[in-house]
Amino acid sequence: MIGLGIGLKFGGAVTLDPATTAFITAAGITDPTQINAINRLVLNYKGQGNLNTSVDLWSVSTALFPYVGGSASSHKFNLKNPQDTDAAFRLSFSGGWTHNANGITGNTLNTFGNTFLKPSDLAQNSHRLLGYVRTDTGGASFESIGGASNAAFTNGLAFDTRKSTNSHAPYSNTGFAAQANANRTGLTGVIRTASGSFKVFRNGVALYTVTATSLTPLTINMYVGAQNNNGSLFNPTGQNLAFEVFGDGLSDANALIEYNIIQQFQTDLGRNV
Amino acid sequence: MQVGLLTLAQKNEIEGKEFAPDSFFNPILDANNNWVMSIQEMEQATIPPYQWVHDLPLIEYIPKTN
Repeated sequence: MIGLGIGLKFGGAVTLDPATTAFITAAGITDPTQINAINRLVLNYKGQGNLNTSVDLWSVSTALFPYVGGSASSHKFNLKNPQDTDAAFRLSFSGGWTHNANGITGNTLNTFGNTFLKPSDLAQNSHRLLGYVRTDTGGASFESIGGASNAAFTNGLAFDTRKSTNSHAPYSNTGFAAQANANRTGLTGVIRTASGSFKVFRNGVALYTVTATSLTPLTINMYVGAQNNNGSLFNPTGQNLAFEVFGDGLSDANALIEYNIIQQFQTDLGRNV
Repeated sequence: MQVGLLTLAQKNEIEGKEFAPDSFFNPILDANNNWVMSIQEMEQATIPPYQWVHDLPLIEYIPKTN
């Protein structure tokens, strides 16, 4: 492995993966704890880390937003491709976000992050959208981890939850079907690996299966922290988000591996839930 | 929640503009068709010439209903 070697807290010099170096350079990250955490995250995603020595989750991920660095200028970068361009799925934050060491927190009023990534950039029958939610706040309105939907809500890729009714509104290239479920924190979202159904996961475990045939993916940009409802802001979150991932679908076994990797990352940063 | 009240001219001036590094204004309409912005945007605006948003009058936000 070729990379920049620096002395870090895990005992002696650590050689950084090139993806780590590219990301920390773009995001302006110099804190050794954060650098260590990002490097372990990258190695684990690549199947070269302490938690994952064989499964390549890196190549089946399109956008990874680790929300590390504490500012919009660092949180905007896609770990998979940390270039400051829309084509690299670099986030553009709008509205009154709060950025800090815990990630990003919406205001339920006007916050969203444009990913410039469309559902059509992902496979119709193999995709995932997951978010690491740290706070179980909220009331009568749904709050979105992110995604997009058409005007009639009959097609979308998104995941929303509502605290007052303990319910989910999951979309996976189909319309939502509200599900009773109180689990709003941790790594939650949708994973589809077949045309006839998709699953909702939390912390690497499938909560339930939704029988719904996938539809032609939308060609509008997905947001983080809200839904892009055909150009209108919908369900802006008030929750604290500490990670989001968009990519190919995963088997149940690999979904658990991914959760363990992301949880380790959060633990390394002292912000796990 | 409280929000900052904008005139139409103010809204046109700031919409989509960068108010802090890599953060962009997103004014929205309330139920009375007032243009408003969040307290966070008002407090965090550091990029000239938009610091005037710090002094916007505050009103109680009434969301539009669909």
